[in-house]
Amino acid sequence: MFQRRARVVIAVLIVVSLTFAILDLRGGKGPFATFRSVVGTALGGVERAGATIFSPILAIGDWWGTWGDQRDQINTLQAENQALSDLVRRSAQDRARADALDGLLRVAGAGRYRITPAEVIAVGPEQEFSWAITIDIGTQDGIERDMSVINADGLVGRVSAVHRTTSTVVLIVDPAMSVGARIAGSDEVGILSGTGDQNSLEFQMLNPLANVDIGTALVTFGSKNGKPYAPGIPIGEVTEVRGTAGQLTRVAAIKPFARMSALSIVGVVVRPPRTDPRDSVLPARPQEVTPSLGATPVPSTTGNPSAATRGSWSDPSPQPSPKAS
Amino acid sequence: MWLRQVFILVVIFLISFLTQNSFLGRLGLPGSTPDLILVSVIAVALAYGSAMGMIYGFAAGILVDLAPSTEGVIGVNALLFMAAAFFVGRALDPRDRTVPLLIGLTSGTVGAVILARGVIDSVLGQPTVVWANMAGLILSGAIYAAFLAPLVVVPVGWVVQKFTPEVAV
Repeated sequence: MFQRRARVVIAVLIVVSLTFAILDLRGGKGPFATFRSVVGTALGGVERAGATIFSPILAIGDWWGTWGDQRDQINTLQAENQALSDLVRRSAQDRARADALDGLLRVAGAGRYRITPAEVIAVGPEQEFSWAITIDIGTQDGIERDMSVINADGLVGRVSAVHRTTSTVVLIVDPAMSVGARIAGSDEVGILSGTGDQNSLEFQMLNPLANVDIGTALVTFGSKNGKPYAPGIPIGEVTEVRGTAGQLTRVAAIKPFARMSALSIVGVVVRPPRTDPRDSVLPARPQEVTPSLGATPVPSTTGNPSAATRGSWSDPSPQPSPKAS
Repeated sequence: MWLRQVFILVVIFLISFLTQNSFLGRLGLPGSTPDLILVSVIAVALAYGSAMGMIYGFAAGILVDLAPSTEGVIGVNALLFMAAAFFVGRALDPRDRTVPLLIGLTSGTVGAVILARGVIDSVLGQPTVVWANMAGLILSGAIYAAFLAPLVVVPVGWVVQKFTPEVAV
């Protein structure tokens, strides 16, 4: 049936196979050890190359095989992600609130105000041309009309109407508002009025010859019994001075410290300090503090230990005489 | 002539070995692994005839036995592949070949080889044969071979006819 040569070859191959099998079975791995390792090395390399080639295809198989699982997993992870994002958002919000409260407490501590913290729950419509917000405390929290409202940055406004659990606060940027203000570090006083622009107030100085530098801060002058304004509350800084010295009226544009568009935590000053904190509530500006002053903070007569360093950014020598009205 | 034939056979073996061990074996299909190498032996036997198929089967079997991830007795696969090549090369007259017939022949041969391997391993006292699984192994192996047959037998036949027409059956 085969050619003679083929028959011989095939017979030899069968004998070889059988011999191999018998030798292998006798446990004599000796003759095959090197053979196996050589072939194994060569074909192992081929297998590795194959693994590299086929891995992406197998990964597709895995993908199909686990498709349903992965969908479930994706759903689970998405839900988890959602929950965590909510948590992060909330925690950021909480942190912001905590920071705001911290700042408020710092201001209150620096100025010795007694404050009641509150949260802004509503903002009056702008088309009414009045700038007012509603806060979530009222008569039952001891709030009265004409109390000052501050936040961590400075003066926000005053209480214009009090209800049982809410109060209405008119912001200082309201055009109908005017606040008695004093330039920090000097005795120059004036009237600050809202312009309806939340980034700009108008400061009319009583002394037309006063020298005002841009960047100087303004604090409240204070009213009788601290109503409507407690003394020493930071208001804003001078951004522009209009009119030359000696004119009948000199007007400065003031940028309020408190951002009226982003109010959340505010504090109502329920009891003003006994003495005017003057400039001690202003935020510290370390880069303007001279090293000698920073190294030896001297307690001032305002009773605030940090007054010397805090108040020194615009005027290195805080005036000791309280000027409460 | 010889060189070209040997080259074709080496390429066929490498491709089937690579695909079987690196791809088909890792697919994790139920039952037995699709035995692409055996199918290639069948294809070679169909294309070149029994004698050449048996030589190719011997070489492929020895290499498979020696290759990593096979722990059988050396020579068993060589014998089985030779037997398969002998049977397949003589079973059909080349003029009667149709694709369905080839598929049936391939899958039947693969099933028979799986059974024979079980028998031989048992006779040789290998403890790895589990007869309870044998029916499933034979059935799945035959089904996979039926799928592989048109993909392997037809291209191998075409390549052989194209490059070595003088020795092709």
